[in-house]
Amino acid sequence: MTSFIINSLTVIILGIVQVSFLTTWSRPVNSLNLILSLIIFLVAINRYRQGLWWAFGAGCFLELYSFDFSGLTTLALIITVVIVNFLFNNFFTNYSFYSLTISGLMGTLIYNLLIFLVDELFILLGIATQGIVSAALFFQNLIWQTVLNLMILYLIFFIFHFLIGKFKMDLSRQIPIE
Amino acid sequence: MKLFGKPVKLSVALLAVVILLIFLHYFKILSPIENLAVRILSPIQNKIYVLGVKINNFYSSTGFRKDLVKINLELEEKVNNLIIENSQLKMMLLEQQELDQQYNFLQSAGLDAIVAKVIGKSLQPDRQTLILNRGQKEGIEVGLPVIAGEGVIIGKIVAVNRSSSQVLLINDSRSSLAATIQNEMQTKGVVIGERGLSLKMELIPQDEEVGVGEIVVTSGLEPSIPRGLVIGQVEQVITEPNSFFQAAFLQPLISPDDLIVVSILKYHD
Repeated sequence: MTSFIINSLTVIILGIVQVSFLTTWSRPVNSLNLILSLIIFLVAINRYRQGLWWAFGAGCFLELYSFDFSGLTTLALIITVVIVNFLFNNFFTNYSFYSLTISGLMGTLIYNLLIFLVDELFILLGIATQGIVSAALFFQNLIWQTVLNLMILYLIFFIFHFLIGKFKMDLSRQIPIE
Repeated sequence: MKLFGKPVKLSVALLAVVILLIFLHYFKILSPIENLAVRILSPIQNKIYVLGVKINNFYSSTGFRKDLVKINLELEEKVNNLIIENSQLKMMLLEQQELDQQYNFLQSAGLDAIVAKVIGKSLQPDRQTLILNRGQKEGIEVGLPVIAGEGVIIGKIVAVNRSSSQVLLINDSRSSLAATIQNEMQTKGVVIGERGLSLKMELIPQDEEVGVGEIVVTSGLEPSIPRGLVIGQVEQVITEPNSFFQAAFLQPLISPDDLIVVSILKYHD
């Protein structure tokens, strides 16, 4: 129960920071998706179950302030977690800096492309009226978001490494999982 | 190959719950919970939003404009100290001044409006939209104009939830407004957003003379948008000899990044 309350509060605080704080910053810093970065990190440290719950909780919170098709943000976050976990289970051999980079890159791309494709599909079907402003601007922001999300992932990676000692700095070695 | 990993049931269950929530949302069953959440969180969000705007402004004026900082180093330091010392007071004062300006304008123009606080921006950075803490409950409808300061239009409502709404800012590429230049000929045109960066007035007849510095206002041709709301000031006129129309770039009078409180004008004939 305590864990549930702590996780819920964390997700709500992160949601508020994402909607009301990070969006106020100038471009390109406002492209940072802190919630997505943290969820990818959870999957990367073998906390898939927690990552799924965070994706669900954060998605539900962000839906309150999203004017896209309802449920899209949550679905995109959950699908991203599932795919990143799939990559970890089948393609990445260790929990290294490189694995984290690829999962951060793939996670950000998958999440944004899912939203982009569904938005455009709904515009095409006439269900929604507000789509992507311009594909060029969208991809420009996507590049920035990828870079910023990776920077945050690296920051958390090193903080996590130094505080908990979960990771080892020798990137060539396999790191046992729990 | 495993697609879902160990907690396969959890992934499927969560996806099923999301689909259920989508149905509940569309049948408005979740509305009371959503409203309650937005109502409880919006004061905190507004405070955090104001803090974000302040920090961003602080860095914009000091961190990214080092050339100006060098010229006015001593003065800037004093100003920055004052900003830090009086940040709380200034936030309140700013909000009050904004409200006073809007109230005075609305009184003198005889317009009815709903005051709303900005609680966030679009989650997609390519969209120039603001999220406001007023929605259907307060009578907000799609298409209503949103103003700031002394009658400066900043955008139109494009989406409404029960307790919140979304404003499409006039500098968004999808925004267009029927406009008039305040000159002798009352030149008409359409103001569109330029990728969130500037404003451009198009469809200005070639034979009409447009001067730099002239004020552009709403023409009143659109339903629910009253005539005379300030859009911006002509900054540059573009005339091409083979075209039927000329265009003008406008300087907005208010930066949407600094907005904390806005007014949503109620229906206007």
